[in-house]
Amino acid sequence: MEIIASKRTKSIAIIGNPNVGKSSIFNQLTGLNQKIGNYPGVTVDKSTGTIRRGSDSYELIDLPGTYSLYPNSEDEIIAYRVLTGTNAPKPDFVLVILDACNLERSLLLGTQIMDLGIPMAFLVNMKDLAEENGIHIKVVEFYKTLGVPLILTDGRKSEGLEAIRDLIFQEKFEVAKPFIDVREFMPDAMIGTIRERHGYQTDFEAFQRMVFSTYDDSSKKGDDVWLRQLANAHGFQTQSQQLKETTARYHQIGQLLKRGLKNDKPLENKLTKTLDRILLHPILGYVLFLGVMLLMFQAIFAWASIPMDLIDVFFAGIGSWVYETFPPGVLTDLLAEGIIPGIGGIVIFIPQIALLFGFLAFLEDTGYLSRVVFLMDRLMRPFGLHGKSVVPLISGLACAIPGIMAARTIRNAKERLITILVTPWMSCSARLPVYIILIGLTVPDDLYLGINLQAIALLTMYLLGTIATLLGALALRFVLKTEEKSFLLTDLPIYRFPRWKALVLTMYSKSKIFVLEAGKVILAISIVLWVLASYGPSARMDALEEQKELEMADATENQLTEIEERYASQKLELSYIGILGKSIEPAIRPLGYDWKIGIALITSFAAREVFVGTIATIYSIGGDVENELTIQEKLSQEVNPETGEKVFNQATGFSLMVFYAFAMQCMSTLAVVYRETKSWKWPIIQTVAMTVIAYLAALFTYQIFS
Amino acid sequence: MIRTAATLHQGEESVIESIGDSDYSINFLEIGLLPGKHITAIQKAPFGGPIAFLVEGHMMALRQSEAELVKIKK
Repeated sequence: MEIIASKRTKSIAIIGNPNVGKSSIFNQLTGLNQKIGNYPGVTVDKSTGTIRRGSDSYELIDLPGTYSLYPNSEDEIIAYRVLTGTNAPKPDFVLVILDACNLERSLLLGTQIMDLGIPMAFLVNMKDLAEENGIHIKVVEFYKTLGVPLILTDGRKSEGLEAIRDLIFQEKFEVAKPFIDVREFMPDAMIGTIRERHGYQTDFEAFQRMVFSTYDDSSKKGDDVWLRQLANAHGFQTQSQQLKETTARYHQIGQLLKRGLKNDKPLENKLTKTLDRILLHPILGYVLFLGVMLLMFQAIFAWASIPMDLIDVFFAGIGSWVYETFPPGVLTDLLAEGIIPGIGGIVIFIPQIALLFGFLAFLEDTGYLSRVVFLMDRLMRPFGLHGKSVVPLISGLACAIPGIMAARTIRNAKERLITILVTPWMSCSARLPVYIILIGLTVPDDLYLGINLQAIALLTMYLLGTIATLLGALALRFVLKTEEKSFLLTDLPIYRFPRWKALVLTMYSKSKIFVLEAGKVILAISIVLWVLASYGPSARMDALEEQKELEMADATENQLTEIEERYASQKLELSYIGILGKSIEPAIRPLGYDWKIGIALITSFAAREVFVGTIATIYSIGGDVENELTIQEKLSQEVNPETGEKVFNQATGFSLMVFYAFAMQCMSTLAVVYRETKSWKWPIIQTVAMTVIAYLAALFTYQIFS
Repeated sequence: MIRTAATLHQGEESVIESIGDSDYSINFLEIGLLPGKHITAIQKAPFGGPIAFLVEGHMMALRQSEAELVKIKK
């Protein structure tokens, strides 16, 4: 019999406290071989990477930072699930990253992992900083007590990386002896019963499962009732036993540190202390924060506009080049009228996306983002939000998806839900092209008091989004009920210089993900749209064709183009998409939209940026294609055939902008809200509410300006 | 009278004596706010906002209500 040797790639989970430099080490080890969860922003999703040497390879899992294996928030639950093998097999090995400057706290987590019984090793990171501060680590002492390998590293300077690689490829991980005997804190009988029921290998897993049963997590399946009954039967007070266990652990860690550490002087972190006196200052701190935000907007609007203009002209050029180069036919039409304008509409985003994500990565990497939580907590609370809601909201300026995922760090369920529900109102980068096109069409490029009017209009849209977000949160605060108390207890990590290489990498990979993910949708929609716009119910289409032939036969040379254009627009009206647009026209007429805009509203429900691509495609079809106009120029020439007025006048333009400011119009957001709230209830309520509000606000806007 | 960390003036240093009971006592332990640690108030956010403390070289932020649970030596 033939035996097929299947070599499974072994997996190694990397875990540590927040801000311990986990991601640094992960990046150094895996380089570009990474799959980042799916969406960027703050590192809250599970990301995996591959490390190779010769023919050997291992999968590395970068887990969210956590202080213990008793999870407090959604992102910490991910770490718990992976390490206990809740949904997938347990990782084969664990690398625990410890902070050389705060071994006490990091060993709390580290020794809990020892007790899980998975083969493991410790990496003591930031050794340089510790040495500067006069902390000496006696590795031998640690090894004697812990019984697992321990490597000193500095992730930012790639020191000790070879040692880590050797450790991985020689699989020098070891199973630790239990650090704490949980039988001191839980009756033997209980441990035995839980271990048997769940098939646990260690006593600690049983204890941990019991602690986890006290958390209110809707996704767990049914065993909590059983566990609670068991606790009651034994008179077991989970919370107080957990406190006792943690205290005992700290006591034993203290003993170890007495032997294994030599401190010359107390830890100072002078730079951080000095900077925080300024950056957290009650007045100066806010002025500087405002400055940081203004700089970010300056980057997005002013700096990004130069490459964006070039991209726009470039794609207009390609479109006409395709027409001149390839033989006329269906494929050439599809390419020049469907695919190229569609793709151009998305590529134009890259400069802004890259800058926005680069900026966020910079703020996170330096340690400033945590300070924003401190500065904003008091201001957020009246709106039913938490200081930590600021991170999702600011991320929402780039894209609501990483923003909504970043809300996982908020422990209070109500504050988290409100943050998730209102984040899509922050003006995301997908709205930008919509705004820019419409502002370009309807707001004069003039100066008012020395400020560009178009810039004022754009800023107004951002303010509108932010105000709506806060008011929405305020309204939800009174609608949603909770018993749970809210608290803030957060670490402010030391300030560090950003790692420029990692920053550029972030900008590159986020842009790539964005273009590929959004590009797929937009490409598909562009093609479908082009087909729907080029074909229609055959009886009427054929009749139109015949009529056109007749007229063409009699026409003079001069009349030909005019006839061509007139019939092209009639053809669009009779096409499938035309019929669809016409059917919703009565509903959107009061908002100032015609059926062509109606088509764009329907297609851009997938994603807002599709609006621009759709409009580009619709007006390219039947337009004068040999003329290399940019999208904006095409639209400004568009007139209503009945009234002879411009289609994109001020009232319609403003009304459209307001509609896009409030409406959901993003399927990915819908999906991520479903994933994060684990039910269809909230995404559906959210979409309906946002669409209704958008409709009313757009109606109001149109009536004022027309 | 028992003093709490919420009463520390800016720049004032003390030692943590104990942590008061609450639903989130475990979180104080996990972040490293332990009895015996030196604690200094660094900045206070305006209008009764959070307070930034230096605890043995590490910065952390607590709301007033949490700081009131941290009992300190006089």
